[in-house]
Amino acid sequence: MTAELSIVDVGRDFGGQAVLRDVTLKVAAGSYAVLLGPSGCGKTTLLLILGGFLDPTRGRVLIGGRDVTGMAPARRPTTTVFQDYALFPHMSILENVGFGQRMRGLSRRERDAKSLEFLDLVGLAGSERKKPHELSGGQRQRVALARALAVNPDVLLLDEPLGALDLNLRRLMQDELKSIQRRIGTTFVHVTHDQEEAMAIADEIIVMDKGTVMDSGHPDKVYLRPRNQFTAAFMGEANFLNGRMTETGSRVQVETEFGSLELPSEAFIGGDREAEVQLFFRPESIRLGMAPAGALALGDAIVEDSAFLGTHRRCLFRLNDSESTLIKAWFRQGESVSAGQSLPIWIGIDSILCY
Amino acid sequence: MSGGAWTRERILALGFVLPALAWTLVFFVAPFGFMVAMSLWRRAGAELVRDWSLVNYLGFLARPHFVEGLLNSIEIAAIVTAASVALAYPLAWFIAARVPAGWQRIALALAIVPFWTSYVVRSYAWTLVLSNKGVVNEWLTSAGLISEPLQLSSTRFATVTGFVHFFVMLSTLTIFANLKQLSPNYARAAADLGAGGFQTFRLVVLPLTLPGIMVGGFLSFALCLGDYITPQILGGNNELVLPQIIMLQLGRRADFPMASALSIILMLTVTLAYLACARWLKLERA
Amino acid sequence: MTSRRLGNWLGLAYALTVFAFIFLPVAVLVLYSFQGGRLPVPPFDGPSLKWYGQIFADRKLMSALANSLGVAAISSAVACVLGFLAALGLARQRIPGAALMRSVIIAPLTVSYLIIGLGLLASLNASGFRPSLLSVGIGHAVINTPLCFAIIYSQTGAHQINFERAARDLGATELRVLWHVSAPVLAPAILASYFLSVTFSWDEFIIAFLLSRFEVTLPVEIWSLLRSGLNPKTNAIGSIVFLSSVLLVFALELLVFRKRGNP
Repeated sequence: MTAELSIVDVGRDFGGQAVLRDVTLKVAAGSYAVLLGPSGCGKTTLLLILGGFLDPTRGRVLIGGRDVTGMAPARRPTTTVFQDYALFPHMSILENVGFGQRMRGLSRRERDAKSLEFLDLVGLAGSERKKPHELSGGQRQRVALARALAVNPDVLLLDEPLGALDLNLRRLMQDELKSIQRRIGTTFVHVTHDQEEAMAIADEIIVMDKGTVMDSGHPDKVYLRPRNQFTAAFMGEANFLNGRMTETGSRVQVETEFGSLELPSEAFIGGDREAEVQLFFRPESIRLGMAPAGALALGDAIVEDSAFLGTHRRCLFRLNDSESTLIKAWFRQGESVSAGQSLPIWIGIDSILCY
Repeated sequence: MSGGAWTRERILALGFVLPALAWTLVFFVAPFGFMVAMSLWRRAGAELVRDWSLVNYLGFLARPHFVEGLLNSIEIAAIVTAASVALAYPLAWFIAARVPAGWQRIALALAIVPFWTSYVVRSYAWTLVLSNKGVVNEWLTSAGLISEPLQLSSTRFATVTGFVHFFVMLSTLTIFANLKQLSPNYARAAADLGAGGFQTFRLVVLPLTLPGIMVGGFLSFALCLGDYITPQILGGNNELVLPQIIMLQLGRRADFPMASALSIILMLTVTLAYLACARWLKLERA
Repeated sequence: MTSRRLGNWLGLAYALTVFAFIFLPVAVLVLYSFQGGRLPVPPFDGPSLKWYGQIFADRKLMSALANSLGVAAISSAVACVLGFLAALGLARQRIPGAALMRSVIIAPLTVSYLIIGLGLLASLNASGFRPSLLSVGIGHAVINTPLCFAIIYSQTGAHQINFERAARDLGATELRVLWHVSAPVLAPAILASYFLSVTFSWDEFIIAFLLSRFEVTLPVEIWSLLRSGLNPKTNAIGSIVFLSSVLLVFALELLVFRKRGNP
C-alpha cells in the first residue's frame, strides 16, 4: 500500500496571516520524505493539512492522483503518528493497535491477529496486554507506529516522532523507521527540526522556512549544493564571505578581500547574478598549509579556539585584517591545532558556492 | 533528603505547621469528637445523660420519618447529580471544543456568574421564578399553555431545580478542566483511524473524561446531601430531608444527642459514596 | 462539512439554553429589585429605587452587612496566615508524620458545614461560652484554613525550597526569608486564597446561623427577611450582594491574574 503524494499551491492563513504560502511539491510513491525546518516554519501545519485535520485556505492535496482536499481524516488513505503518540490510555496495547481495524468492522479475532502481526513488525511482540503507561517512551513510539500502519495507509505521516527520545534511542529508532519503511514500502512523510535526523533517514528532504519550501532533494544535494543561504546555514555549519563579481565573457571572476579567484559556472546557484555575492563553504572543506594554484588562500589566520569533538576537531580562525570574520573549520581527529597559533588556511575552488 | 534527624530546618518547618495544626485540633477535631461522644449519650427531659449507648442510632431506625428523610436526601441528591452532570457535559464540551480559545475563559466566567450570588438569595430567587405568580407561570399562562398556575414552588421539583442550577456550574467547571487537559491528538487519532464523531466520543473522549465527571458528580452529591437551605426554602415542608430533620432536633427540642447521631449518619452516607467513587476510579485506572 | 456545521449550531443553541437557565433567577432577582409595587412578581411596574432606599435605611440590615464584612475579612486573614505557614512548613522539609498533619489540616474540607457548625455549637454550649460573632469567625476560619492551605500548598514545590535555601545561603535570617522570598513568590496564591475565603465566609449561612445569637451576619439577616415572604427588599439586598461579589472577582482577575499570566 503506497501512493504518490502531491501538494499543489497549498496555502493556509491563521487570523489573516499566511503560515503557509504556495507550497508545491511531489513525493514519489514508496519514498521517505522529511519536512525539515525551524519551529514555526509551517511544517506541522502542512502535516495537519495532509492528514486532513486542517483544511488549506488555498490549493489542493492529491494522493495517488486522487484529490483528497477537504476529505475527512477517517476517509483519507493517510494515518498519523502524533508527536505525543496519543495512545488511548484506557485501552491495552492490543486494543490501541486494533482500533483502526475495529472501526472498519473487523471481528475481534481478525483484528487481534493483524495487530499482533504489526506489533511483531515494530519489535513489541509480547507486550500486547500492557497499558500505554507501562511502556517506555521508545516503546510507546513503536505502538503508535504499529497502530498507524495497521490500517494499511498509502501515506504515513509522522509529526516529530522522535522528539521526546534521548539521543541514543533516537539514533536507534531512526534506523528502525527506515528499515520498516523499506520493508512495507509505504510512503512516509516525517516532520522534524533536526537536520541530522533528516539526513539519516530521508530519501528526500524538503527544507521549509516562513511557510515556504526553501529547498528540496536528496540529502547530499541539499547539504552540498543548498539552493540558498538559509538552507546552507540550516543544514549544517557554514562559512560566508563577502565578494564582488566581475564577468568577462564566459569567465567569472570574484573579488574578495583575500584576492580574486575564478569560479566555474556550477558554483553559481540561482539564476540572477548580482555584483555583490556571498561565498559559501563548509567547515570541513578548509585545508591547512600553503594554497595550491587556483585555490582561495585565506592567508595566515589565528586560531581562536580549538576543541576536540570526538569525530573531528573543530577550530575557530580569526582572519588577518578582519575584526569580525570568524571562520569555522573541521579537521581530522589527529590534526594538532591549538589556540593562539597562526596558521595558513585555504579552500579548494570546487568547495565554494556563490549566492 | 534522608533519615529522621531533627535538623534546624525541620524544627523550624514544624514550628510553621503547628499553629494550623493546633487550630484544627482545637476547633475542628475536638468538637467533632465531642459530637461523636454526644451521639452516644442521650437526652432525658432537659438533662443530658452521659451513659454510653446506641439509643439514638436505634431511635433513628425506629422512626420511619427519619429513615424516610435520609432516603429523600439520597434520592434528591442522586437525581440532582445525574441531571447536573448530564446538563453540564455538553456545555463543557461546547466551551472546550467549539468556543475560540480566547473566549473560553469568558464563557466559563459567565457560566459561573450566579455562583457569586449569596446562597440564600439564590434559593429565594428561584421561589420568585417558580411562585404561582412568578415569571414561569406568567409565561405559560400568556402563551395559553395553562389556564391555572402550576404549583411549582414548595415542591421537590423546586428543590431539584435550585440544586441543579448550582451544580451545573460546578460540574461544568470540573468537566471543562478535564476536557482541556486532554491532548487534541486523542480525538484526531481516533478520527484518523476511521472513527466517526459518535464513536470518537463514546470510545475515547467519554472514557478519558470520566474522572472529571466523577469529581463533579461526587461534589454535587456530597454538597447536596448536606444542604439545609435549598430544601428549606424551595421544598416547602411537604417532604423533609435529613439536614432539615437535624435542624428540627436542635430548634424545637434542643436534642443535641439525636442531632449528633443524625449528623454522623449523614456523614457516613457521604463517606460511603466517596469510597464507592474512589474504588471505581482506582479500578478504572488499573 | 454540513453535519459539523449543524452540530455547531445545535451546540450553540444548547449552550445558550443552559446559559438562560443559569441566568434566569439572577435576572429575575435584579429586575424585580427595581419593582414599584409590593410584590416582586410580574407585571413589572418599575423602575423604582425605593427598595434600595429602604435597605439602606434598615439599621439591622446595615449592621448585619458590616458584621459580615468584618467576620469575612478577619477570619479569612487568620485562615490565610495559618494556611500559608502550614503550607511552607510542609513544603520545605519531610517532617516525620507530614502526611498525617496534612490530612488533619485538610479534614474540615471533607465534612459538611452543618456538621462543623453543630460540633462547634455543642462544644460551645458545653464549655459555657455564648454564641457570638467571634464564634462565627472561628467557625469560618476552621472551614477556610484547609482551603487556603490547599491552594498555597499546591503552588509550592521543589523550587520553593531552593529559593529559600538560596536566600539563607546569602545570609538572610528566617524572618527575612519569609518576608522577602517565600511570601512574594507565593503572593498570587495567597491573594487568591484570601479572596476565595472572603467570598466563602461572606456567603456562609449555616455556621453563622448556628453560632450567632444577637449580632448576626448578612445571610442570617436575609434569612429572617425571607420569613416575610416575597419582598422586593430582599431582591434589592440580594442584587447588591451579587453585584459586589462580581465586581470583587472582576477586580481580582484584573489585578492579580492578568499581571502574572494564567496561574
